[in-house]
Amino acid sequence: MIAKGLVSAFWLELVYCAAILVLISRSRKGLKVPTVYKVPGLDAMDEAIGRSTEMGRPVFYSPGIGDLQNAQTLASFTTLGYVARQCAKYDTGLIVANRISVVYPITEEIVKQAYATEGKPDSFVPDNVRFFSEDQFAYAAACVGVMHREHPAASILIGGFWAESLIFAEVGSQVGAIQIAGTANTHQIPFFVAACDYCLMGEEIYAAGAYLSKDPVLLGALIGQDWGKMVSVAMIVVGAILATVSPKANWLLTMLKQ
Amino acid sequence: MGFWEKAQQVDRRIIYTLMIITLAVAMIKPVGLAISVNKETQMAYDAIEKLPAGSIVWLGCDFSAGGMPELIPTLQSVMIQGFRKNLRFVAGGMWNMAGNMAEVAWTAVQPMFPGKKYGVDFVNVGYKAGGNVLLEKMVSDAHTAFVGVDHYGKPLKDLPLMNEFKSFKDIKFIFGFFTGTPGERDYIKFVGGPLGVPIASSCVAVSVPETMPFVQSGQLVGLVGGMRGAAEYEVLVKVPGRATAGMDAQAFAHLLIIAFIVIGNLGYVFTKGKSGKTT
Amino acid sequence: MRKEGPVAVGFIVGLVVIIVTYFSAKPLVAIKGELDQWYLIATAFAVAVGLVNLVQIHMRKIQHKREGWGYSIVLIAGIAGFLLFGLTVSSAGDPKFQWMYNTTIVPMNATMYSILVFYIASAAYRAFRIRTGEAAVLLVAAVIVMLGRVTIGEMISPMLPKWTSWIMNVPNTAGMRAITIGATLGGISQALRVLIGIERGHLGGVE
Repeated sequence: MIAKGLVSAFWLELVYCAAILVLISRSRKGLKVPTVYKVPGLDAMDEAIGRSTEMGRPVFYSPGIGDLQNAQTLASFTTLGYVARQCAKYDTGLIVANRISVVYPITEEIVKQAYATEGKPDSFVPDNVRFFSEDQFAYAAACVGVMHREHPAASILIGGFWAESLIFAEVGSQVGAIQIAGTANTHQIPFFVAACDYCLMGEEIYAAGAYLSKDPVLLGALIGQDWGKMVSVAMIVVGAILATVSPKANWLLTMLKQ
Repeated sequence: MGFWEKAQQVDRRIIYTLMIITLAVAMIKPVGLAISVNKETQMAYDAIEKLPAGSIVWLGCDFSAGGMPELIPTLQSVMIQGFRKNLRFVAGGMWNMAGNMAEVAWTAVQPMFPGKKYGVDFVNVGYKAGGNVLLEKMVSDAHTAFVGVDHYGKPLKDLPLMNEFKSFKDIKFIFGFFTGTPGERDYIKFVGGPLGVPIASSCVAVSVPETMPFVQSGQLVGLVGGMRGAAEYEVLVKVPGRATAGMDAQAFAHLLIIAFIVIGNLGYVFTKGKSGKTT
Repeated sequence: MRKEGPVAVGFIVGLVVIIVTYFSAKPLVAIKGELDQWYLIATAFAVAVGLVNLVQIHMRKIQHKREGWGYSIVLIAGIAGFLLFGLTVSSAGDPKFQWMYNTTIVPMNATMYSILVFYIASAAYRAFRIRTGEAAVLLVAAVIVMLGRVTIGEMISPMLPKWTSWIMNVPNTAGMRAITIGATLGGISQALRVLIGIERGHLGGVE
């Protein structure tokens, strides 16, 4: 019934999602949830926005170049909502640069709603949420131009980034912006680590929503993620032992290939 | 400011100028350093060598102009190797420059094989919209996925090779050329896994670390990484080209970067000792 | 209803896609095919939305002669030129359209990508300082891999390519796998939260 090659994946995912739902349900009932370890990049958001406010320069935000199918873009929306509310609260300029045309109306709505929530709907500047180009490097060139012209004091890059990541990071450094970057694309993490002040690696960008809002329900979902990781580690250890001791009778590998 | 303080704060324009000079000199006057072949590149080459004559190979040209220096040489080398063995190629992809990239390679390689004809030995279906949805459709009906025409607007039914290529089930091998997403993971997920078609990948150097696990797990049968891999493939097919020429430039550029890193660290160490502070 | 509606639609559509992925149920496969087509059509129309925004911003810049308004004229002319020419030729494969594309977009893309070589040099110079033990390990590994991946490394020592290969195949691959597993689990959790409506950032950011 289940498609060939996906049986194990189906059951593992089902169990993982069930665990997350159970923990979300427990959190809703008010049961205690553990605290999350400190993520310097997320803690630095307020510092970055505060720096921009003091210097009278805008915050530059990029939700990455991934489209709506990309979970990193969805994670970026949560962070954008928080950043936009903070910028609205302190009357700090916020420039949002979009590459994907489908993402642009969503980010515009997020920023607009943030200003409305803070009671400052008239302070929202539609021209500050911009669509540049669907072409990767045309988008990169446009962002470089914006950074050189607008001189942001903070550059927040959260989402799916590819080859243009180092361009953003270096130019941000050139204009003197404090940089907080985060992506789950493993091939770009080294560039962000080298060139940015703070870097969120991999799953930390998905934790942003829970971390910044301190919502117990979202924190419960984070614990589910940790359980999933513990199961993965256990499978890796068992698999490594089996592959070493009895490579021909590796039942775990056989089961996972189903 | 002392010498070692200055060494930590070299103006980036000096770095850029020296980099331009290094690359230009190395490309104009190549030294011709020897190139050894990596295991993963050899695996990709051997996989193509094992294919019987007449096999149809899909060339997934999923890259843009930025990847040309690293991937076009491999694409051309694969086509040279394949045409020597009378393999047939269908090229296309999910990226909007797929057709252009395939055309660049065909234009360069075809004069070396005057007997090879477009439509019989090679077809360029170009870019088709849909991302990985295109791959899903190609698994069952490639002609519908390609909207019935090739990159130049010619009906696929008029191309003899396409009468034998109805879906990915008719393909014996996939050689993908990737600079990002969609990329090899989509081929592995939608084609390699379900159909068992062997896949080799040529990717830009920055993607090699994240692609290596797929080679180790056997989901990719070979990996040609970056310009180094392209140069290795040129060595294997014995047709040195742009990748081989570019290796000298890359080598000296790396040396320049290392030199600046060393200078910066020496400046850091000597000034740290003097002031007792970290910078 | 303003928030519940989109969440409900998202949940139903997401469920259909998940079921089709795992079970390939025939009626749902056809529905998924339709949904894929709708997505393509919606994204194509969304390009028009982005285009309007782009043109509006730059036309305002030209109108008020703000700094750099000359470049805005170039941008508008480029958009109009490609659009009009593309609509009048028979297909994107037309040689004239290909010539325009190959002589403008392709070299500009290649130029932007090539800027990375300069930025990596300045980023490496700035970032690779031996401030801590970990930074020293990073520096040594980076130097070994940089030398081992080019031909000059083999001339310096035949061990360099071997050490490079070990670094790439063992610690690097292990680290990449760990981050990928964590990111994938995080992505699934994110997607589940979006599907069941707990995360509503994409609906306007207000919880």
